Amino acid sequence: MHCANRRIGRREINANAHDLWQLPNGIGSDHDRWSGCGPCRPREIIALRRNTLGYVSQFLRVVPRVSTLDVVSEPLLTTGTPCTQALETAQELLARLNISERLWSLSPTTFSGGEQQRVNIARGFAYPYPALLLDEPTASLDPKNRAIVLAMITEAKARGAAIIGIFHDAAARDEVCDRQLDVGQFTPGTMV
Amino acid sequence: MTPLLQVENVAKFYGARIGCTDVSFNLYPGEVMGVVGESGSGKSTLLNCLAGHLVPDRGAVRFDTRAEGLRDTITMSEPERRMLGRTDWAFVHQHARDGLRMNVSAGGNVGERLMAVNARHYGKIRASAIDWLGRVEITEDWIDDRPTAFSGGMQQRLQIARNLVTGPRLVFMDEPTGGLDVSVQARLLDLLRGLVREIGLSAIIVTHDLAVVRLLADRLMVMKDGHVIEAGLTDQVLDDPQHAYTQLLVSSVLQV
Repeated sequence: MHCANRRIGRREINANAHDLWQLPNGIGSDHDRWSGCGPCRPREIIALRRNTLGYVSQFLRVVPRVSTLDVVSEPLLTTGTPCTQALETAQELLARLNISERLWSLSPTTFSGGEQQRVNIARGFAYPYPALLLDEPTASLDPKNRAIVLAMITEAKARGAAIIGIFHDAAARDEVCDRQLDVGQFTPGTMV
Repeated sequence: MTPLLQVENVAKFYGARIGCTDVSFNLYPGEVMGVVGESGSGKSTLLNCLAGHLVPDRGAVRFDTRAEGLRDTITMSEPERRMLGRTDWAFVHQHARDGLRMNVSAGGNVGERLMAVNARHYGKIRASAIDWLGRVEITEDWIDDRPTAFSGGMQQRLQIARNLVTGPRLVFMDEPTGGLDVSVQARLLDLLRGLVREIGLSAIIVTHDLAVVRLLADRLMVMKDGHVIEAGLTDQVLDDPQHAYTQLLVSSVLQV
């Protein structure tokens, strides 16, 4: 993956399958998200996001009033999965992430922070993207759900997904990361 | 892949004043483009130039027609352009009244576009009208009522049904959610997202509302004083605005 970033300078990152990266200390790590492929045209990036590059952000941004089940199954529907199958996968993921079934038909905008993050993770993992970007996926989770998310990351690695993640949680980092990158060295002003 | 709409250096002047100038972009099938900017920045002028309602003073607007591929819609004949306007294009006005016939029933409003493309079977026209009213969540028992009896949100949804019934490939929308209450607005956003996903609709949406753009648009163009000052993928522009005006715009959004 070739990265060129407007603010943080240029560098190359080679993310191989099975590699997990850890980018500590906030500086610049958020800005790395979509900075890949500088010269790409918008439509190539749109297609890339739709089919190749999954992204789990820290914040859930959804159309209000849309049910949690529909929010989670949307990435599957956009990639052409039949509706019933997409809903089944969404149900499995939500159940696995301990979102109680009575919440499935409600919009996640009214959920607690931890629930929203789990909905976000379910959405990000619904479609088996070959590459994934995770922005502090375990930040606001209790130990039980944290373990489930880490297991999901490990499974994604096992199926061959390349993952770049931001982890402040040192234990989670050690559990799932194969390589670490300190973005402190890219901080503007300290670059060589 | 051929772009659905190719816009090259489009400019429109009102006397010495700039309406919009130097606008160029390619829109591909299934893409939604948002256009934001303050009042008077040229958003609606641009939209009207693209939709053939205004004749630009400079530039080219090429549309990928079903029969002949890319055609310049500015130089094509009026009948051809009008044909596009009622088949492959749709225009959703800010005020639903501008896009509806207020003295004709809801079913008639939807059916009119079908009849314009030579549908003649009454039963079939009525059936597709019922189908589309259902998709925009207007129940069947409203079909024989005039839009004057509808609420603002229902009128807007009826306008959308009327526009989409002929299966257009490109929809121009001028403030489609302006003046609607937030709950109806949310329902409209969901409807539009579903249509983009299911029928691969492309759309150009002019709006003031950055939240609408964030949820609906893949790409974003920011206009000021008739010029495009920033363009890019929606989240790139909104999360990392480069131009001072875009920064002001993003920082002016009220947080709930």
